[in-house]
Amino acid sequence: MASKFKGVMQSPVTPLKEDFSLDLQTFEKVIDFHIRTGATAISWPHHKGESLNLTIDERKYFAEAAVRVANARVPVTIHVSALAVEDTHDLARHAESIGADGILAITPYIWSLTPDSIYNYFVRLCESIELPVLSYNSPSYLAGVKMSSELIERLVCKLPNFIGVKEASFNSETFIEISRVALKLNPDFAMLTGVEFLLPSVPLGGVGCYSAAGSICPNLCLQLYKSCISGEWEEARILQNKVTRIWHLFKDQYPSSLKGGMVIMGRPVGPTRSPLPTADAERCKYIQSELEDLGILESEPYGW
Amino acid sequence: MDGNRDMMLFAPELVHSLLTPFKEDNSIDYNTYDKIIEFHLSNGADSLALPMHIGEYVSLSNAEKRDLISFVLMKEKNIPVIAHVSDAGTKIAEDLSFFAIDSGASSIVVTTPYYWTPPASMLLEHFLTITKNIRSPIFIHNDPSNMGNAKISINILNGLLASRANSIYLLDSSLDWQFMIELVTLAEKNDSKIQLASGTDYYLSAAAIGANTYFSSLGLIAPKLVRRLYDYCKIDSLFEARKVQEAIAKLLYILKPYGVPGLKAASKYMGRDCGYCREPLNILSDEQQKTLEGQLKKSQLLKNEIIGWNR
Repeated sequence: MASKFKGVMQSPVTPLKEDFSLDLQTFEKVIDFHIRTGATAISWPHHKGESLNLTIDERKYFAEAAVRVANARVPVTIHVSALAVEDTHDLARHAESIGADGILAITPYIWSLTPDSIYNYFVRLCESIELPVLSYNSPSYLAGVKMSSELIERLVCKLPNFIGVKEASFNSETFIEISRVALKLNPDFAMLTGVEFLLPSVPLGGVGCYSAAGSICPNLCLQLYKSCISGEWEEARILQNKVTRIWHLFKDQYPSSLKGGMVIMGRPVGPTRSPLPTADAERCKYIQSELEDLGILESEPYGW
Repeated sequence: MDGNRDMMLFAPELVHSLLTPFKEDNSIDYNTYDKIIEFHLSNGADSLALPMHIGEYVSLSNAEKRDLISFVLMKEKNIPVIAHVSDAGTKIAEDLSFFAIDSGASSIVVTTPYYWTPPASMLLEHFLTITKNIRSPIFIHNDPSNMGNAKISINILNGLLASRANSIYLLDSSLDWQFMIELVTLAEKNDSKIQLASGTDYYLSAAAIGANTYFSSLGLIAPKLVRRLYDYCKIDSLFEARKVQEAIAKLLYILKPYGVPGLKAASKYMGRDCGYCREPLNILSDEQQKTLEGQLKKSQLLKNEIIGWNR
């Protein structure tokens, strides 16, 4: 069966009120905005959604809201990674109980693990639920702990619900090594790139991305995806360069800068929880000037 | 100082990096080197690069580097020859770069300095000094994983661009998509005075991003595969290129654990014996050679490549 996890998938930010409590009403608007502007799936809460700054109860509360607001218009996956593995399992079981379409899980935080430990972690997680499981490879943020192609091969062979990877190394060798091995075993294995690095990944078997900039410029992200899958490489190069410039703009103080950018686009989502900063007026002014220079203010939707 | 080839026509395209053959007594085997060069010229190389790291560059004396460069330039006058001139000391690299260009090399390749980790300002000065009197195109090699994580930054490239009238190629072995895209954006701002070249055989993503030059370490082992990958990418047939890239990736996966001796062992398997490695590298043991040959045979990756030295 073809994977339903492809295209430009959105991982919403987490709106907060001025007192830093969850803002449910705005979260519902964010989810709806993404679906109306072309998201092929919703996945929450990635690190962009401040996952590790939320309590487990808060994560469950908004996971339920995400499933409810999406209302089966697009698949919803829940990012279940937590500092404690037992919390991860709790979130995974909860995701299944509320009718989510899958879960996403990164390699465990903090610890320097052997490949066998990572393997055992994913086996236990995947066997605890029936939902599809997407793994998340981000070695630069996890002290080099990574999903190697050998590890992916073992997991694909062992687990029928291990169906894809969010690959965030942004490295040619890593991506093709995983895709070469995984797609041979399962042609529908979802090779997804973290952030919109579609131009270098689609020729290697990539089928989509988790978007970083979709809350700012969904039209641009969709254009990039369409140009890549249709092989319009000259156009794709121009669009990829533009999207990457936006990525660099928001990567600095991520996701605070992104939330600052959303204010400029008429979609305010409140502050960012400590220890992350909230974009100040000076930062927002800089973001505005960059977005103007890129023509984003004219070409992308304003407001909800 | 110019090379002897017209800079305006400089189009390195598919660059074969040369292995350096050694005899049992540790000396360079020039008879075999001659065969290697002939093989590359007859099997798809648009340019030659020597002595790169796969040519055991750091195990060669300064005199041997000069001899190898002179040998190739005496023999080949029709396609670009790119000389590798990196060193720990700026003055040593500068002298070798002068020698190479003066002898007729079309271009030079220079990496970050060996061993040292100078501040960014000194790194820029290193590159500026080595290249200041060279009007030929130059390759600046970004190879952090092999160079103590020393990286070429966009700021350094901006500094080089500000001081050079002629073109710069950033030879990337970092495989880092973010850096490569930044580089292409920098090129757009500078009328393509700087260009992206791939320093590895993972060429497809680099070509998608905008690379037009491909340094291959597999030219002596799988010249047909690397030629097909380059040709598909050159005409933007990137989906068609995927299967070829996957085959090359699998070949690299097999060879990687063995390093440069593995390249020589694979070449031997293909009927092109390049002799010994120089210390601290050693050729594979008989058992390792047998294991590698078994892996290559089972993979079927080289079944369409020619055996022996003749085309």
